[in-house]
Amino acid sequence: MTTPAPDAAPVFRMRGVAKSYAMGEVTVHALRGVDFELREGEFLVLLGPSGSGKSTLLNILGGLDVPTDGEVWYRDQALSGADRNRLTEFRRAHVGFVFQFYNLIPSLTARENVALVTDIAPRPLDAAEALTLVGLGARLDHFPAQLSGGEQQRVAIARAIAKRPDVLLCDEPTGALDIETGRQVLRALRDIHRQTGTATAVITHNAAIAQMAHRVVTLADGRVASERQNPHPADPDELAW
Amino acid sequence: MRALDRKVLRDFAALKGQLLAIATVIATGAGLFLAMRVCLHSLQRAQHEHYSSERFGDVFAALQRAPEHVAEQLRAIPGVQRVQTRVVAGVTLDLEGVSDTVTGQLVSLPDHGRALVNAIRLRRGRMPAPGRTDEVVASEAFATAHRLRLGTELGAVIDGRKQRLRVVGTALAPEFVYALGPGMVFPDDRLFGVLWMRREALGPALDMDGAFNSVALGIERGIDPTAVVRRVDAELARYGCRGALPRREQVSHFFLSSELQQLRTIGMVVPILFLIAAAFLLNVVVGQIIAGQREQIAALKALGYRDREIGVHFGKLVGAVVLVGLLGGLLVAASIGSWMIRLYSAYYWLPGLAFALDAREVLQVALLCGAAAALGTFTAIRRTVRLPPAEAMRAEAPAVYRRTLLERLGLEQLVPPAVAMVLRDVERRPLRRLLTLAGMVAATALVVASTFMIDAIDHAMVISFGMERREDVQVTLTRPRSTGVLAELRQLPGVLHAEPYRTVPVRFRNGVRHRNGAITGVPREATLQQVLDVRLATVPPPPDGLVLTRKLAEVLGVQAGDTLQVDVLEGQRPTRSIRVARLAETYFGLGAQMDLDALCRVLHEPRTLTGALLTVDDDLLPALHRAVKATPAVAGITSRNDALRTYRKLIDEHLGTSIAINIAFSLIMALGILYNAGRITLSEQARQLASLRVLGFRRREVSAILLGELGALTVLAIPLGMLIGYLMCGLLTEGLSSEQLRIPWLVAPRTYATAALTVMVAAGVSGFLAWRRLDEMDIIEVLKTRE
Ligand SMILES: Nc1ncnc2c1ncn2[C@@H]1O[C@H](COP(=O)(O)OP(=O)(O)OP(=O)(O)O)[C@@H](O)[C@H]1O
Ligand SMILES: [Mg+2]
Repeated sequence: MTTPAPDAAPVFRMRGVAKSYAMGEVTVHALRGVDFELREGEFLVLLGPSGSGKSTLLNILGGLDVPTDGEVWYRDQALSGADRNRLTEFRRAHVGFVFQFYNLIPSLTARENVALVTDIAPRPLDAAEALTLVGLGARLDHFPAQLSGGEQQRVAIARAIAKRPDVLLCDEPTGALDIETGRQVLRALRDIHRQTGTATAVITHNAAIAQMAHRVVTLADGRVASERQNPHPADPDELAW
Repeated sequence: MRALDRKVLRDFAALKGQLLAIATVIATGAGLFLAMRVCLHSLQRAQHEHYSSERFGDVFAALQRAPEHVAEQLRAIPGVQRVQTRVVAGVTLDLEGVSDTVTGQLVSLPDHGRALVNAIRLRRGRMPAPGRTDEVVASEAFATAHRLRLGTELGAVIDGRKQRLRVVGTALAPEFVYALGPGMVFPDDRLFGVLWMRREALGPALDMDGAFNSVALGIERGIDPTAVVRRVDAELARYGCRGALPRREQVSHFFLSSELQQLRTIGMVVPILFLIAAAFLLNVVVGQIIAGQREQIAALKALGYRDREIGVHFGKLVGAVVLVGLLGGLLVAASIGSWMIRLYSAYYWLPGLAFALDAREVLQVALLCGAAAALGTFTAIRRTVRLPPAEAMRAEAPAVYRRTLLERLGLEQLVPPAVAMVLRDVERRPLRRLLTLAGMVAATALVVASTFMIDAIDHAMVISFGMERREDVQVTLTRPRSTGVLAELRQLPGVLHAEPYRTVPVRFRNGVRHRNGAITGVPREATLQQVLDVRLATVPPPPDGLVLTRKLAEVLGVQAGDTLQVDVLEGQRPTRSIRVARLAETYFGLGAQMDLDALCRVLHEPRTLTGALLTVDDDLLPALHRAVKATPAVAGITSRNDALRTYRKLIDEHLGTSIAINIAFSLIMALGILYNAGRITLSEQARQLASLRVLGFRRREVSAILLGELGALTVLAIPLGMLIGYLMCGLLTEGLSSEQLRIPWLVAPRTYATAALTVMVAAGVSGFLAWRRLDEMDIIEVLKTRE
C-alpha cells in the first residue's frame, strides 16, 4: 500500500469530542474527550473493546450523529453544530458507509442496491462497474437473500464506493464473516483504496486486521488509549487471524 | 427507474394481500362517494333544467270552479309573475287487455302556445291538434308501463261520460316527476297515468267553459311563497279552494327533494365511514411496514438520502394503494352509478338523467382519499423520517412487557401461559385491538343501519295494510254521496261486504301553526278500517273528537284533550273547533280520523260517503273491475293487493339490491380490517408462536392462540355493533322521515342476524387465511430472522 505522507492534510479533525446518552437516571459516556484525525489517502484501523465508543466515533465522523461536546471538522467544514439537513448533504456528497450487518435493502437486487447511491451521486461509478470491482460482476441481479454474508458485505462496499466518496467509513465490515470471506472483503477494500486513494477508516475487534493499516488508533472507555504508525502495511492474504 | 422507486413496487408486491385489501376498502368508499355524488348532481341538474325549461310553478291551488277572469286578481297579487289556469279531472281508464282499474289525471293544455307555468316536455309524437277533442299526450311513465304506441286508443270515463282518447304523444312534466296516484303509497305507473288534453276539449267535457279548477303560479325571485299562498287562498276561498300549496308541499317536488336530501346525507356519511376505515388500516399497515424497515431507513439515511426523499418514498407506497383504490373506485362507481341512475329513473321521471363521471368529481374524490390516506399515515411517516439515523441503526428497544391485569390480580393460575402471552400482547398494544374492534363494530352497525329500512317499511306496511285496513278493494267516489250509493255498490258483482268512509279536506289550525290535511270519518261499526292508538292497539273511534296522527299533533303543537280549529275546505267551508280525543300512530300522510256520524254532525250533513271499502270474491274481481268502470259515481278503485305487490316489487327490485350491495360493502370493510389485523398480529407474534412450536406445541394449539383473539374480538364486536347500529337507525329514521312518510325506529331480529352473519363470515375468512399462513410458517426461517 502506498503510504501517505505523514504530514498529509487531515480530512477529519476532532478536538475534545464527547458524547453522552442520558438513559433515565444514568448517563452513559460513550466518548469522553477524543482528539483524532483521519488524513488524506490514509487507511486507518480503529481498535478497542466492545463499548469503547468506536461506532459512536465513526457515526459522528460520518455525520450520522452529533457530539455532545467538542469540535468536528471535515476539511474546512464544521460538522459539530451542523443541523440534520446539512449533515445529510454532507453524507450525500462525501461519505461512503459500510455497516457490520450490511444493511442492504432486501427487496432490491445487488445492482439496484448500488444504484440507490448512483441515483443521487453527482459523478458516480456505473453500478455494474462498482460490483465488478468487488468481484461480483456475475451476481448483479441477485437479491440479498440469494447472496452469502461475504457477498452481501461486498455489495455493501460496492454501494459505499459507487459514489466515489471522499471518505470510506466501515464499521466492523468483517464482523459477521468467517476468515476466508473476511479476507475477500478486506481485499476488496484494499484494492479500492489502492485504486482511488480514498481516506478509509475501518473499525474492527480483530487486531490482526490492524496489520493492514497505515495507522492504528485504539479506543478504550471513550478515550484514545494509543496510536501507532505502521510503516509496512500487510497484504490481507498475509494476515494471521 | 430509480432504485428507490423500484423498492416501492417490490414492497407493494410483497405486501399485496394487505395493501389490496386496503385498496378495496378505498375503492368501496371512493366508488360509493362518486356514484352517489354523480347521481345527486345528475338528478339536481336534470331537476333544475326540467323545472326551469318547463317553468315549474311556485304556488299551486286546486279549487271547485272559478270564472277565468279571477286569474286577473291572482296576477295582481304582489310578486306573482305568471299565472296559468287549468282544468284538471280524475278519470278512469280502460286499456285493452288490462283488467285492473286504471285511473288517470287529465290536465288541460292551453289552446294557444305553451303553458306559462307547468308546461310539458314532449318526448315522442306531437301535441293534440286544434279542434281534436279526442287527442291526448300521455305521461311517459304511463306510456312506458303499458308500452303504449302512438295512436293507441284508450277508453275513458270523464265525469261520468264515456269517451275514447287517442294517444298522439308522450311527455314529461315537472309537476309529475314523481307521479303518485290517489290512494297510492308508492308510485305504480301501470295503475296511474297523466293525460294532457287541449283546454277546448277538456273544458266543455267537464262543464268548465270559461272557468278553471286548478291554477299554477310563477313568482318573482326573492318573494316569500307563503305570503303569496295566503293571498291566493284569500282570493280563491269562495271558489272552493282546498288550500293553496307552496312548491315545497307539492307532492312530486316534495318526494324528489326529500330523495335528494337523503342521497346527499347518505352520500356523505357512508363513504366517509369507509374512508375512515381505510385511513385506520393504512395507519396500522404503514406503521407496521415502517417499523419493519427501520434499519433499511437508517441505511438510506446513511447513504445520504434526504428526509424528504424518504418521506416521499413511503408516500409513494401509500399513493400506490390510493391509486389502485381510486381506479377500483371508478369501476365501482361506474357499475353502481349507472344502476342507481336506472333505479332513480324508474321512480323519478326526469329528462336527461344519465350517469357520467365528471373530472371535477373524480378529482374531489381523489383529494378526499388522498386526505384520508395522509391523515392515516402522516404521523407514522413523519416519525420515521425524523428518527436520527444513528438511532434508527440500532434495533428498536425490546418491548417492555408487563404482567397482565389478570396476573396482577393474582388470577394467573387461571390462565395458561399461552393465553397469558396473548393477553400481555393485547395489553401492550390495546389501541390496535381497539381499532380492529371499532372496525368490526362499524361493519356490524353498517349492515344493521342499511338493512333496517326494510324492517321499518315492512312494519309500516303491516300496520297500514294489515291492521288499519283489511279490505280487498277501495272504491273512491267522484264526490260525496248519500248512503244510497252503498246499496248500489253492494249490488256490484263479487262484493261481499261494503263499508263507507268519508274524507273531508281541511286545514288544521292551532294558533299560527297550520297544516292542510284531511279527516277520515270511520263508521263505528267498521270492521275493514281500524283506528290505532300510539301503541298500535285497535281502539273504537271516540264518540266525538279527533284521533290525530302523532306527527300531525307534533307539527301543530297539540296534545290529546286540546282543541283544534278546523277549516273545512269544501261545501260551505265552515270553521269548527274540534277536540283532539287521542293520538294515533300512522306512518303515511298527515291525517286524522273521526267517528263518521260525529264528522257528519260537525259538517251539519246527513251521513255521506266519499268512498267505500269492500271485501270481494276473488273470482269475480275482473267482473267487478268491469262493472266499476261503467259506474259513473266511481272515480277509481284500488286493490290492497296491488299496493302490496307494488311494494314487494320496490323491495325486490331496488331496495333489496341496494341492501345486498350495502351488505357486500360492509363485508369488504370487515374483511379488509380483519385480514390486515390478522396478518399484523401474525407477523408480530410469529417468533413467539414459532418458539411455542419448537417447545412442542401442536399446530392446532398454536392456531387456537392466534384465532382465539380474533374470536374474542368478534364476539365482543357483534353485540356492540348491533347496539350502535340500532342507535344509527334512530338517527336515520329522524333524518329520513318526513311529514308524509314516517319511518318507524325498529330493527327486526333477521337484520341483527344478517349483521352478525356478515361479520362472522368476514372473521371466518380472515381467520382461515391467517390460519393457513400460520400452518405454512417455516419455523426455522422465522427464528433465524433478526428482530
Ligand atoms: N443511542 C444510545 N443510547 C444509549 N447508549 C448508547 C447509545 N449508543 C451507544 N451507546 C453506548 O455508548 C457506548 C459506546 O457504544 P459504541 O456503540 O460506540 O461502542 P463500540 O465500541 O462500537 O462497541 P462494539 O464493539 O460492541 O460495537 C456503549 O456503552 C453503548 O451502550
Ligand atoms: Mg460498534
